[in-house]
Amino acid sequence: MNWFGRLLRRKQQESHLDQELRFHIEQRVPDFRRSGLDDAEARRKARQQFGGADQVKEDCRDARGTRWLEDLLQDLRYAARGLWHHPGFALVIVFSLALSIGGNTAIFSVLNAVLCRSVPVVQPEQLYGLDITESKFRAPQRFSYPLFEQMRGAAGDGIAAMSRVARMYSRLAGACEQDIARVQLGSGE
Amino acid sequence: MASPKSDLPQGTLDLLILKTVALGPVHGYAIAQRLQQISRDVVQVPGGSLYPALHRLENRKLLSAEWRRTETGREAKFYRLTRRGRAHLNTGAASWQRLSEAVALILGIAEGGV
Repeated sequence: MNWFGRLLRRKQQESHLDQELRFHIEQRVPDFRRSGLDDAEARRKARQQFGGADQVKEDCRDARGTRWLEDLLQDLRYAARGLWHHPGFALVIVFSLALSIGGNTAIFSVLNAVLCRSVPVVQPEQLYGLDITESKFRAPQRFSYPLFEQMRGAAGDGIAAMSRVARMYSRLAGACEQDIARVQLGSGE
Repeated sequence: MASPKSDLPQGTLDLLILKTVALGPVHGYAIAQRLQQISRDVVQVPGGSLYPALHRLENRKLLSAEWRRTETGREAKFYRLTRRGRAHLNTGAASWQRLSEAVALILGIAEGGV
């Protein structure tokens, strides 16, 4: 019998174990009867000599090798009973679990979209981000047009450039008020 | 009565049980009786050691068990040696033999005469 079968037949196993130990104890009874004890006294003596039957049973269950699973199931039953009797507590747990799992999922979805997925272009490995790191006048990822032209010349092959999305205050023709527009500059290749 | 702690070295009880069962299908009580008789009362296995050991051996498939009627018509759990159990018994007995001979040799050295 494998461990799963043993687990399913736990009831049968328990009664067999009980029967086996009781058989052992009862085999001793006639010996004590012969030494002159009455039946009840002989039984008591035999049980006593065998030792704590409950402890022996525990040790036998340990030897069975399904102990961890039995204990786990028992713990789960105990936990379920506890939650059933304290519905408010259970509700708080369910709510906080739902909240934390939801938050986790939301943050992961954002990170996944931003960091993990590659950029939706044909050859993303050919994309570079340029920045000036050693300059007194450094502005992040901003280049003057002449500098861009120099870089384009140095790169040899035609490169295309796209500025990052920037906010600009612009007055659109015809509009009365200054408005914020999102603009992005492209080099046109 | 406090059950006497078995003085058998680790693993020896398993070997003694396997050997007793090898003589023929037998229930737990008879195993204890035989061990006591054959050893002339030196080996007295309390139930607290015997049954966990039997269940462990059954779990390791060194013993198999079935319920049968005894001569007195009672149902009892009879243990029987499996093929694996026999192999285990053979190797265990051989190594025990070797060890006990070695111990006897060492303890038998006449003092002062080396």
